[in-house]
Amino acid sequence: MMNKFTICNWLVFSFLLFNSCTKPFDTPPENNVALPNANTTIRNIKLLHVKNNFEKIMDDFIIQGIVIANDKSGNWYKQIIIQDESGGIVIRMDANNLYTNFQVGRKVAIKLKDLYLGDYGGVIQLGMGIDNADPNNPTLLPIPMSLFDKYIIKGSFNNVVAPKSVNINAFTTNLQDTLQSTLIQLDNVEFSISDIDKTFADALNKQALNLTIKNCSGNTIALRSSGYADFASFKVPTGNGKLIAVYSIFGNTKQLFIRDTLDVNFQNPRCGNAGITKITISELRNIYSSTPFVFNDNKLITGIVITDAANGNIASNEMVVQENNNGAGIVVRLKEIHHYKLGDSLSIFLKDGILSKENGILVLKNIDSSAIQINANTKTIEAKQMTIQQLKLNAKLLESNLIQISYPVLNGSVWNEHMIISDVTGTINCNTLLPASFYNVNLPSQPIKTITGWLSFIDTLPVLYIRNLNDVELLPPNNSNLSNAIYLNTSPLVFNFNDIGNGLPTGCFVYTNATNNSLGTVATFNVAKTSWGNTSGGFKNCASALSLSSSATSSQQDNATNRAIALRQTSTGGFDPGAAFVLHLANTLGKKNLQISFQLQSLDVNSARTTNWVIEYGLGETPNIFNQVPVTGNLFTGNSQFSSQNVLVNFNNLLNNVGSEIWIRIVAKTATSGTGSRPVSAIDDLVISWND
Amino acid sequence: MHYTWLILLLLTLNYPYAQTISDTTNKVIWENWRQIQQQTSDELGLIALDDAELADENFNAYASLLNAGKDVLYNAAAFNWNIARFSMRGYSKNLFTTYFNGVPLENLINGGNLVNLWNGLTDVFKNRELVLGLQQNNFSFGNLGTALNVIVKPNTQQKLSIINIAFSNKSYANRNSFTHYSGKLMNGWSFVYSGAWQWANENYVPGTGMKNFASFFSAEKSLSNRHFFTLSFLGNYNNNMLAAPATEELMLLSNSKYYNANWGYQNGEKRNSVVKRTIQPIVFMNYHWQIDAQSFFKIGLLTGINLQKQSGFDWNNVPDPRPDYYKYLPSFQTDTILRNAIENYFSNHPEALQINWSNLYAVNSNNKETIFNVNGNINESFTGLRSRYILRDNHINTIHFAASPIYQKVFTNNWQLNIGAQIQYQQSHYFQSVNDLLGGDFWVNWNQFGNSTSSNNLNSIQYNLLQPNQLIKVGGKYGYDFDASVFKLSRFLQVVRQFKKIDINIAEWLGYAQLQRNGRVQNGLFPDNSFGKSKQLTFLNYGMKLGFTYKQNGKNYFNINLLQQSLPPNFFDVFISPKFNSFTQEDIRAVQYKSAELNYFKNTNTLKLRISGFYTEINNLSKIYTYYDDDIFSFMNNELTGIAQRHMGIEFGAEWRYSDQWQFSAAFVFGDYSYTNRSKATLRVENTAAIIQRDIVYWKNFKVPGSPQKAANFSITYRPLRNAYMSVSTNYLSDNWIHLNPIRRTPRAIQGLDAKSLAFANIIQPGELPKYMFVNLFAAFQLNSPKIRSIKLKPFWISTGLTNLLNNQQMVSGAYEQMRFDFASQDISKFAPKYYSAFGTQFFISTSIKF
Repeated sequence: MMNKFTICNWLVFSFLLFNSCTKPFDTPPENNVALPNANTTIRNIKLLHVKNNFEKIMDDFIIQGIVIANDKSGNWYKQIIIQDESGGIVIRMDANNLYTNFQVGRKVAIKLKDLYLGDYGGVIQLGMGIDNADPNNPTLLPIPMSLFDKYIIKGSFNNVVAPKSVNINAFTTNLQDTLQSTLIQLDNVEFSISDIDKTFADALNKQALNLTIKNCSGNTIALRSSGYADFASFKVPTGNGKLIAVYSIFGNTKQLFIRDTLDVNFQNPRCGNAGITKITISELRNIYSSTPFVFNDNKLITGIVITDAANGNIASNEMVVQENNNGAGIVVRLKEIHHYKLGDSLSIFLKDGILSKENGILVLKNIDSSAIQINANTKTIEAKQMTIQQLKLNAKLLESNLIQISYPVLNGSVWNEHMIISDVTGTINCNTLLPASFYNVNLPSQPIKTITGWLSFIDTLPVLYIRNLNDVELLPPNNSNLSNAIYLNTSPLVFNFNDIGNGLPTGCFVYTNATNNSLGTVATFNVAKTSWGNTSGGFKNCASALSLSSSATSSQQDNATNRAIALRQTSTGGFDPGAAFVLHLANTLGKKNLQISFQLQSLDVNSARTTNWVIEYGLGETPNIFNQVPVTGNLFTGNSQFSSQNVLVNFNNLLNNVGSEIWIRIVAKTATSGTGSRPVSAIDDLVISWND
Repeated sequence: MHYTWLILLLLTLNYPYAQTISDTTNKVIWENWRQIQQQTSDELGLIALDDAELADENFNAYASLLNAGKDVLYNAAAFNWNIARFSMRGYSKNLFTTYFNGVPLENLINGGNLVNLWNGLTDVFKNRELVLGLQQNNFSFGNLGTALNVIVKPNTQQKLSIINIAFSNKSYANRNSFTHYSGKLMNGWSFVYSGAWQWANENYVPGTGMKNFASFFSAEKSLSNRHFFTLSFLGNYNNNMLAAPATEELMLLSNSKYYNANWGYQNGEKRNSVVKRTIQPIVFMNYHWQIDAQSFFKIGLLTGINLQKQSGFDWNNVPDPRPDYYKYLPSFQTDTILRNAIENYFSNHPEALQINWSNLYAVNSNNKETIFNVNGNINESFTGLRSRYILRDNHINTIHFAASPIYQKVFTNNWQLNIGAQIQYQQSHYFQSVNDLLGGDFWVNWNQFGNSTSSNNLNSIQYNLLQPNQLIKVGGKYGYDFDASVFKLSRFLQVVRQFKKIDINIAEWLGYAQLQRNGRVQNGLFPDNSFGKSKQLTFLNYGMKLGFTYKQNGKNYFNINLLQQSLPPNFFDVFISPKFNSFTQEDIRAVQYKSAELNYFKNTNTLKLRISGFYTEINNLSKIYTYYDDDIFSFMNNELTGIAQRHMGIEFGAEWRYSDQWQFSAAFVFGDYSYTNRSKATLRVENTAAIIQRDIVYWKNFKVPGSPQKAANFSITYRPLRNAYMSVSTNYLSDNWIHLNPIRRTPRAIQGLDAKSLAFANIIQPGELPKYMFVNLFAAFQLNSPKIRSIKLKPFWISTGLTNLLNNQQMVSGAYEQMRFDFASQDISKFAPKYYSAFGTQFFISTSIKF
């Protein structure tokens, strides 16, 4: 008989059994496997290597070493570096997070048989196999993850490798330099003044950076850090002190790598100057309010000289420095004549300098040449490209910046203080100072492609100064483009197109695939006489509508001497939309009030569709911006008509005195409308006129 | 265990099986045979390959199939074809339901069965009512697949005790069970209690093993023979060390079809990293009121919990600890020298293909780190050994409740009425915890994949913004933490009318379902959409069923059944990534089912025959595939909607008793289960929930994977003596297809390839598993028992069997294409399909002693 007690027992028993079935696993002991003994040294192995070669190690060599660097901070990727008493070597390993197994201080033994030696930029590496994916540039393959345990035996932790104290001049780029891939220590060094506002690397764009480490005697070496390093976004310390790093090379560049920022111990005062902070030139400019400001603290700016004092178009004790391509610039006035050259990269200490506004421009004056340090030479600032209109609109922001104007016209005869440059959008003064080496030199007669200079002011009037004659870039005289362009000599210039059986006149083109920002592609012009009713697409030689009626026979058309450049559009071939009649003008230097008139003709009464045309012009060798021009007359063809309509285009002052090439086009930018055949359109009796 | 073997052997020698039983007819004897077979079917059918990954792949549950009724085809499927995960009519597991005394045990969240009733408790659950396909039944509206009702009524049993002992080399090595029926006692009470232990230190597959304990208790009280109260308790503890599927490359490298990446040696002992533990106590209450001879009312209630956890690795910014990770394998290398070197290394160092536990301990115990702002407290920091590798547990803690009242009345004019309802609720709590820090001091509650996709969200790595930078110790919760809850309410009404030659049954069904997610943590990737309750998704569904039977005579029946029904989608096919947020699919629809079947039955003394044809259309299925893409460091969710399938085929099962000594049976299924449209796929990055791609999956007319579509069985049973049986069966399975990666069937995958090229074909063509044939042997005989003092033992049975007698190791029990695809190289071998190999020859021997 079952009673309650039995039931309870049964339930309790059941639950006891539920929970009594798992036993914990033992923790394995710490890995204290004895490492196989080394039978050679790292140095001996490295000596087997010949630069740019790959050597497969065939012997049962074993080396031992202590890990001195790994991928923990991200400054190395897929490699560790080990070192023994004789030297250090990079081991390429195909895995991430190697540091969890190969901590700095861990002793490892490496069985070298079947591994390969190679080098990267002169740094000897151990890997496995050769990657010939690019046969001209074979590289060493890393050891695959699954074979780590086969070749690399892991040993004890926390072994200490003392960095070798060396002088900054001790390094060589020799393949067998014993310092390569070892831990070194530099004492009393600091980051170069030009770098002290920088971060270790460009963390945002994941780009590596080379910073300059210098000692107090001015000797330098690069410190390279990866953009992937977890300290990449840290600012470098400004002080002076001890640096521990791994020595490496890349070709002829000697470079140091740190494991993390604990390796940089710069807490002492800098050589000479203590406690410098760097400000940008933009920050400097903002310091000025309305009265002269005297600096008495340890601030510094850096910038690149954008003036050329040697050519004299600036006062001999002045220069303009601009921070970088998009940075601000400032006029710097020294106490005496200076010798800084165009392209010098400078650090300028502001102490005792005075910021003041003189004749409308901001000047940093009272600077002693001892407060200026040259960091590098022949750096370039890219000039900002703009039109004169854009320049004037933003003139306040562009003060002391390098500016470039395209296709300017120089108004005057010589370089002097009265010269004015103009482009399609406006004019600006361009002064040359009396001491300039090119003062009174004749202006170039050739059309100009660009002119470059820095923007200054005379009170409120913007003025551009060129540095030297290299700032004027001429259009090449033998520009093949210009050899088949139209030169405007005597107004008017008349094209009756009656001779197009021999080809289109110079400077006249036909295009297909024209778009808003492209001329399109040059189309072939069929010089053979073709009748209006011919339905094959293309630009062709047709009889003009002016001499015949719509019912003229083919032979009547062929006999007609009045010809026109005709076009039959088709759905394919880039004709609809995209067909264009194009005029190519070399320039309009000295010309104004340009006008064009022509006959726009519809030649096929059987074509029901309508084509809409517009007139546009663009500037430059290959224009990518086109401006539409208003016209007098109808600009459509087709619609089952046979007609010839006069069209007049008045450019007014739009193309006055333009130095660059000019492209004027009659273009079908929109698709034909309606149904049925596409029209045969033509132009005839084109006249270009202007005032001199 | 080995002693037991010896004893058995001795018994066999001493008591030759020459017992005669005079009072049984031939038919009863053959019936006996079926029962023995059924009793051992659990042993044959239990498959240990219940991998979480595969569960996601919609593999079918076998619990419902394990229990063959009297259907010949169903017997063949349960005893023989489950080796290849055969599923009746190719349906997915949510269309098969098990009931306990009329109350459903469905897993409302995943489909399939929530509770594993078996686990050695075969004796108490042998009374089963099986409803195949669209056949009429009296306890529920029914399913498209099967409905299996286990009936436990202690007062229908004679007083009896059973001890069962079994040995095998498959999922368990040793199984013991004890069952006692009290019989009907004087005071109206009846009891049954049963316990079963089974275990294997190591199974057929290296590194796998199991421990299982199950207990069952049931008491029934009858009042005046009209009111019957039953109270039952079922408890299971299950501990399974699981096997991993393997690619062909790994099978070749390890020189074994049964390569298992889940284990490795730790201190000389095999340790498996993927261990699934389940505890599932459950209480059932039944009340049966026999109102009069023609009508009754029954109500069943069940409530229980199901605590399930499965271990596995988690790691943070260290190499993958799993030895089968694709980047470790030779195929990952493009350089032949390296590939050969790795191949050589693996063949000389087989341990490198298993988990290197001591390396994981070495990394953790040398990784000293300081964590700042611990628990979100500024100024609080902690320095210690931060584990980079841990074993984590993925928990599913479920509470569930179901009730099912039913009323039946039979009217005098042959009308019968059934009215019933089902109320079901299930809440499952999904979370992770640290199982083992593997030598470290703590784990940090950070999402290592959170960082990569949203670098401007500083909180993205926090699993829980409510407590950032939390340090986790062993047993501590971390990672995702949410509840999934489903409530279902349905009712049905059935009318049956029996005419002289014709039976008609009509049933209708109405169901309401409610799905909800409740986030318990605020995830840093989705601060606004992770914490708290989601909106409720509700579904109103209907079903209609019509059956018509023509009874030509007592031996021949023709029957036609029709069904139309809609059912709500599964929770995990609606919520896109419930681990992190409450986002749902854009287009949520109920799944539509239409099915028809035509049956012919013949039932004579010597021949039992069923021929059926079935045709089913399934529309609006949805499915979410999740995989990890280590190029963009995020999991990806590929959401498929509007999947349409057609399942049709012919089933045949016949059993012919030729003589007292010989019986023959044959069964085959000739099925065709196909996709009938192109599905829409939406690909999302799990970290951002951003839709990065919309695809059309071109798999129209592709076969629906997951089950052999054609299967055949032929068995011969020989009975040399009255109480001894031997049977041999030959089986053939074919048309079994690998689970498809939908991405490979999109225009993106074959972009730029020539449609006639081999590469093109390789990408889109579905993989077919090998066809195979295998032979099973089964024998059982009865022995007289020795008289041991006063205990009078009944004659006992010994049954034994050999499956896959010819040791065919080419068989695959399940396979799937990896969900990743390398668009750059368009090389399918980079993420090759994974296979579970079916086992070679296995034996079991079992004996039952009754007293």
